[in-house]
Amino acid sequence: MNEPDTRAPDAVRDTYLPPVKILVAGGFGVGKTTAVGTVSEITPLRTEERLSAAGVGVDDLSGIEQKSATTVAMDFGRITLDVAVLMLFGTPGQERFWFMWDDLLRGALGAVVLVDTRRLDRSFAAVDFFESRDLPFVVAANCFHGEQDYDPEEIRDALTLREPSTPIVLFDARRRDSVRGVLLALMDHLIASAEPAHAQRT
Amino acid sequence: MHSTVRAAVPADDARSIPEEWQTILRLCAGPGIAVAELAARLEMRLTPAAVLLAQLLEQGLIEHRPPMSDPDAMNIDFLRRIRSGLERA
Ligand SMILES: Nc1nc2c(ncn2[C@@H]2O[C@H](COP(=O)(O)OP(=O)(O)OP(=O)(O)O)[C@@H](O)[C@H]2O)c(=O)[nH]1
Ligand SMILES: [Mg+2]
Repeated sequence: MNEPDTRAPDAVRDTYLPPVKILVAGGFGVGKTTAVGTVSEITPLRTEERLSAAGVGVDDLSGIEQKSATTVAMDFGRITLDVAVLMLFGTPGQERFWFMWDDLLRGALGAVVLVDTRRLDRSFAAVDFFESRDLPFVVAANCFHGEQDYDPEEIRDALTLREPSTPIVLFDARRRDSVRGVLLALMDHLIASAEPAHAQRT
Repeated sequence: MHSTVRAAVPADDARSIPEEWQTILRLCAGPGIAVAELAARLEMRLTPAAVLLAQLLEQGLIEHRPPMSDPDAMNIDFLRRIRSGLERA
């Protein structure tokens, strides 16, 4: 430890990249885990958290003996860029865990809300949730059939999106380019909102 | 969960610390690793992993960094650089 300044190995000398958090949210089975896995540079991970019974609806625990806590899993993936590390957090889909989304929202730069065009009616709740929060988001419609039955404007109407500037993208959660396109759309949305011109009157 | 941590000392320089801590130092010897990722790799739940990391932090073995999320604190150039990085990724 005579010359601590010069002995640091490369790893420690490396720049500490700023982390950026992006949420991948949506209802049950819309493709969140698939989307995170497709675009992540690492094999996607599952991070588990134990929740006390307090946060979970009583109904969910009825019939479970001795169980005062439950485990909930989030998907985690990342993309390392030259200027930052994008951390992708896939939220749990089951609605009984949505109270946790508020926790997950903290520290996020933006979100991708996945919807399934075969079951748009079941996507209202997720979209509603984000419309009532401050976090910028894009809606990504998963093309389960390989082709879309709807175009973005029809989806916008069907979802009764309040904010006309909220982007809607069609995508396929199994295709990397496609998922990356969704993230690019989110960045465009964030950039557009940050641009001074955004404040202009029309 | 969304903060990243990074080794403040090389694992090799900290031979006297518990083995579990050395493992953590090795895992976070890069450009920073998310607490969520570290927990998953250690096969721990989030809260116990965070408690463990707090001990290393206290000992000055790691440093941590919260995510950049405040749009006001972030300049548009940075957002553009993320975008172009993503395009090339
Ligand atoms: N055809 C098709 N299948 C998909 C697509 N995305 C996901 N799937 C399939 O749909 C199922 C559900 O996808 P997941 O990624 O597990 O969905 P999820 O949102 O993580 O689900 P929960 O976490 O249970 O809410 C899986 O069997 C996927 O293989 C897609 O774009 N097209
Ligand atoms: Mg899932």
